[in-house]
Amino acid sequence: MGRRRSNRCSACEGKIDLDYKQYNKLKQFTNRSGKILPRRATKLCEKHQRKAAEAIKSARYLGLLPYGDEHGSAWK
Amino acid sequence: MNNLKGYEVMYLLDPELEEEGLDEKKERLKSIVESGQGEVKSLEEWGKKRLAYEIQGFNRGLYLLVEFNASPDDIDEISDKSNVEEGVIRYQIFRNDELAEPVSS
Repeated sequence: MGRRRSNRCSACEGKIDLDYKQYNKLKQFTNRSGKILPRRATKLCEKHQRKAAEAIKSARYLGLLPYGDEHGSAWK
Repeated sequence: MNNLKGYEVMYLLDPELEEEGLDEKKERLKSIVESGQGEVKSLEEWGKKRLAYEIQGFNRGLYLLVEFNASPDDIDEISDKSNVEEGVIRYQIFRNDELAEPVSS
């Protein structure tokens, strides 16, 4: 009888723009070390998970987001 | 051939340009982007930011976003010129369909 938690994708509802320029907003789809979270944690639909991942990777290339907490430090 | 598509390019520049030669560099980059038949629509300076990780020895970088339109055939040339441009640490070109020019017949 319990109501199921609504599982709708926040990007489908227009709450968030998945763009590399909004890199601060994209942080909510990464864990604390900067890794991209799986879909079961982000609650995004397939299409928007893919878009989010692409946007995060673009932001990473441009130095706006980290690749991970070991990136660039392990070999120093 | 006059089918121009919308693009934007994000440049990550040497932060030392901020003190010297930034205006000059902006003009250089504008002329690169306009290599073909395209036109710069807007140029947005994000200023100096701390990088998430060290890139080519830099810990900070200047960000510059250039919106423009160009023929898809020009993009390779813009990339080639950006690759060899001094002071450019990294750049990335994206499609921006909002800037596409309606095809004039």
